[in-house]
Amino acid sequence: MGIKRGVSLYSYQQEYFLHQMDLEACIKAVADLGATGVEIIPEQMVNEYPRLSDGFLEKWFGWMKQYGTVPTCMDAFSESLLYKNRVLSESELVDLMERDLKVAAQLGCFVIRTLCTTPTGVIEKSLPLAEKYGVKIGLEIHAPLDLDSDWFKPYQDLIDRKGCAWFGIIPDMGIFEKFPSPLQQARAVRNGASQKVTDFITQAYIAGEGQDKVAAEMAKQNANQHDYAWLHRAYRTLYTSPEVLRKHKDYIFHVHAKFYDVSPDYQDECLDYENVVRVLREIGYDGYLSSEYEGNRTIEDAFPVDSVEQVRRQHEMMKRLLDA
Amino acid sequence: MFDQHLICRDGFRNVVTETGNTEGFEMRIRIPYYRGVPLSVVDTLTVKVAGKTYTNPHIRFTVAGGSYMMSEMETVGDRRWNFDEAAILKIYTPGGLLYIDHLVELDIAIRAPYGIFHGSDKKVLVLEPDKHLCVSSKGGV
Repeated sequence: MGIKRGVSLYSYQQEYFLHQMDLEACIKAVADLGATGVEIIPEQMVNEYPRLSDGFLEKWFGWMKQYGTVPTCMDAFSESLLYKNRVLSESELVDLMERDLKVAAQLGCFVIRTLCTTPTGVIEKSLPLAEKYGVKIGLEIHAPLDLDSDWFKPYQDLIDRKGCAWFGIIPDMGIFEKFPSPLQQARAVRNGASQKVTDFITQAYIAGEGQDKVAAEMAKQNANQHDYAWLHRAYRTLYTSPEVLRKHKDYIFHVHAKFYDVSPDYQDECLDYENVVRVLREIGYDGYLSSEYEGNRTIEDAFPVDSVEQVRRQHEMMKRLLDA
Repeated sequence: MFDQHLICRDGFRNVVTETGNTEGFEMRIRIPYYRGVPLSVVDTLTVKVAGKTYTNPHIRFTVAGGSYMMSEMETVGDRRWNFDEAAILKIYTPGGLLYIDHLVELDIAIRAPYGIFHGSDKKVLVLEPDKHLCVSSKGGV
């Protein structure tokens, strides 16, 4: 079997937003990479959501057949702040989960990504629904929240009590970030932070200095709000040891191959793909590495975005790691 | 996100009622977020133009999914603003705007489940010919 390559169509959102690519063009772009998995945020690219028509589904599966691709994950958002004056109740959130499981089943997805803000109670009550629709619920493990943390304990407890047939995890590559993204630092500078102060922060982070100490030093340098924004971003950088994946191997449903930038010679200097892919292979993971190009959001203020090229480079990098 | 694209360059014009009163002006905007949303999570809109600031109570929001005053829209959880769709804002200000170019500033906040997504944009827009509401037009668009 082995690890498979896929793409979240999120990666092409800039071109979609600017009406330069439509849904079919996004699916074709995945196929052009020799990748098979198509992950989708229906709320981004399917305007009929959550009431998909037969006509749309016919087109969707027609494209899958035509381009030799398969649906993988559907990204869902439990809209807990739907109303201004209150937070949705647990049972209302379970209703939204059911709605999304049903849409995912219609789209042929095997898993839905649920946000790291989803309460365990909602997931527990949704387990029979996951079984009913035949769609797994994958909790996204997204920085700054860590697999080895108090945040994850109740989810681990749920898995220990209820098993992992229908509930598991979707690690996001952002939890394996070796150092703060240089692309994001450059954006902070364009936003109004100083090159000197942000360099100081990045270096202090890499050197393991405490955030408070750095903040105190910044005050002496007349740092502005954008400098402090970089301080917070830099110190949110999370490097989880890829070895951690071993003990969760039975319920890794999907992997968000998030990235900010892959160089023309196919290197991601920021995220630890090499070791993550190595560990995933060693533990026999046979799901998807699903690209999530996020650099678009960071550079779009100043540079043209070429998501197709970025994802192409990343897939070349992943292919090399998978074939090594 | 998408800040530079939030204010559309077209669709900026005064709106004239059937009886000939200019009740305000319209502009078109895009979403500052990476997906479409239920209308109820469009939290706050602020439009500054010609030295005046307009907020939710003065703004009507229209997409294919429906047309609502911002105050009404707080409870509209089952109609959506799509990711690829421009929304029409109608800002009520009797007499509308003078027929000159205007610097228009927009701030918008979307309530995502994990926090607020802000967007802001400013552009100089050229006022297009008036939009005349005819008797048959419904919903105050």
